[in-house]
Amino acid sequence: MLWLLAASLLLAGVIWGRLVYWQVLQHTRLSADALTQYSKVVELPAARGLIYDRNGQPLAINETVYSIVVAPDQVRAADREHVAAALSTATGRPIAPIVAILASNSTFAYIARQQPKLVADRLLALHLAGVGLEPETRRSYLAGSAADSTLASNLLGFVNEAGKGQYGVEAYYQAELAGRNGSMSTYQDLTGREIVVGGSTKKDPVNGADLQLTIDADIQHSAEQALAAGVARNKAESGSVLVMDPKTGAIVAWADYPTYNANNFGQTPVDRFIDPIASHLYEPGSTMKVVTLSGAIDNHAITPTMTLNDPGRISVGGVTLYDWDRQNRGTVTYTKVLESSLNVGAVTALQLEGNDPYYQNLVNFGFSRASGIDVAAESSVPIRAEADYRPSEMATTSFGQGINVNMVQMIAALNVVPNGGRYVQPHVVARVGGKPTELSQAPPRQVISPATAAQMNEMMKAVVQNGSGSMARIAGFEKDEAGKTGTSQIPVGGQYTQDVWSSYVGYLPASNPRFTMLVVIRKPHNATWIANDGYIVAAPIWKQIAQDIVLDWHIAP
Amino acid sequence: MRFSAFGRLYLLVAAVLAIALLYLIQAAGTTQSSYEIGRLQDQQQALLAEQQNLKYQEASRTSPAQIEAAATQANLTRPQPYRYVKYQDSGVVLDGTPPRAPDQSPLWERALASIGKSVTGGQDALAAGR
Repeated sequence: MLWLLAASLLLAGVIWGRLVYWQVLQHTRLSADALTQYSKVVELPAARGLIYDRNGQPLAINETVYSIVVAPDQVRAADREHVAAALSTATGRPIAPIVAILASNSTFAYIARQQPKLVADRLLALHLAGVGLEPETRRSYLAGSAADSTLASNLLGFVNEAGKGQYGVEAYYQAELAGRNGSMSTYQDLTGREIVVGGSTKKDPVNGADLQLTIDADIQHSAEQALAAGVARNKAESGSVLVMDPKTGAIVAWADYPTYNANNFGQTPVDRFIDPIASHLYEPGSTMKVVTLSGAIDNHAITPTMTLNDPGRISVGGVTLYDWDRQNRGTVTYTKVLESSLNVGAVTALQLEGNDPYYQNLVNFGFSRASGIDVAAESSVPIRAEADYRPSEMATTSFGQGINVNMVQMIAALNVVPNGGRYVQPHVVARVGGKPTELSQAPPRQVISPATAAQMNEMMKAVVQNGSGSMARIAGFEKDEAGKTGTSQIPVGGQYTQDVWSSYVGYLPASNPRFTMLVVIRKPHNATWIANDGYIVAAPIWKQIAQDIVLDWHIAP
Repeated sequence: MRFSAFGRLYLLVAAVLAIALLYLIQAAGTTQSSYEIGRLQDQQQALLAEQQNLKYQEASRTSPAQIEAAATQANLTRPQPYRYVKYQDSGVVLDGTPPRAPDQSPLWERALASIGKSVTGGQDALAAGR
């Protein structure tokens, strides 16, 4: 009997000992293990803000797409062929790799990523064992006018797989668009189903703010179309168009060609993502004469009717600079200098004005710093200190060679004339989350007097009526349109080549401008050198787009 | 009412069981509700996804490229640039005295008026003042 009692006590002691071991000594570890099994933290993703044009047309939208996933170990061997065939039919993928995945006996594998809802619905209806769908959000953009492109892709940029904005507006406004993800700590049952109530803590996500751009989608489309046709017609390497509201600095169209498909950015060469308008520099050529002559008139060095002798060449600091055709024109007025785009006239205006005021004029027109446009990766090379320029170098800047600018800087500078002498801040986003941006509210800066601007306006009208801007004339606006051509040689390795940037800037109506537009075409390859000139290459593209704007905005002369 | 010791014990056990049962019923109900909430949240997500996709479809259909494609399919073309009719002088002097309309009154009335005018004078001046 005693041994029975002893055995019972021993057994009870063992049991109690194990209980103490698990319940007391291992309590902390087991509690932690249990917690990881039934509790989970779910991330609540913030919705990325949408991007709209000035009229409320969505340009960038979030679309729900689905990743098709399988658990191969849950697909019976007998069902593999059937499941693989169904997945192949639904996704359009070849069957062999799918069979291989199913035979791998792994626990998880992707069959296809980012499939549209149509495919997801088709698969759901089949009730395939071991096949699941994972919804995810994809950024989608509207189709552009060129083949395999999206509208304003270089301006907008895109969003990568990690949800981060890349290039353009998507990158510049990443913080505002992305918002802040939330989270929810909750419990789940044995099957993994969420038990919402009871001890859960929740932090709501903050959705990203919507952006309203200053872009007009219709004008953007017209610009892209005309630009693509113009680049092809002139066998050019590339081209860009920038349209701006002269009074506010709001960018109306921002077109590049060639461009890319932001919905398929993974298949695009990386160099195509770089936006030529803000990130590439160019020498503006004769469009710069508008800046040079504006400063000279404003400083009372010249007048539009003042004359000079133009023998077709001029020597500065031991270097001879020529007019584009090297012709001796004799006595000409400064209006004629602009009409016929005479380099000698621009250099003479600089000399009459003096280096200091001329240099200050360049600073005032915004060439000493980046434009500050709200698009990622703006490049700029500020002009050198005045003392660093040799006389001949300073002289060539007067007609736009030897000075590097981006297109945003250039259009903002040239827009001073149609805007009564005021410089306005260029910007592409009008509102973030309904609130006006700081840039869009920036006050204008008086650069030249209204009287000077009015005189330059008449001179630029003369360019269209009598000079190199004739190819941009629009029916009904012949007497009320202003512009200037530009053609500048492209330097390579410190030497100027025969390749050119051809450009045209203009605004309309000259009496009350509604838009300013700059067209730049890179490396046109027409039959003759003269056929690559700005007035032959860029002005007709300008005209085509301007006609569409006149019709679309109902602009009357 | 008095209970024996066993009776009180039974009562206590019954009360504890009843409370435990009620707790279990409530916990089961809560869990059921949480599943329902989870299901509704899934449904909400699906509807939001559907809404997003519809928004994209709507935006795509009103995009300039789509409109242009539809217009081309319908054989529509872009309008020609504006044409303006130039002003031509019509010879009408708008700020001058309007020409008199030919008198359409019967002959006898005009004869009578002529006699009256020669007698009284100033009738035309009176008429112009109206």
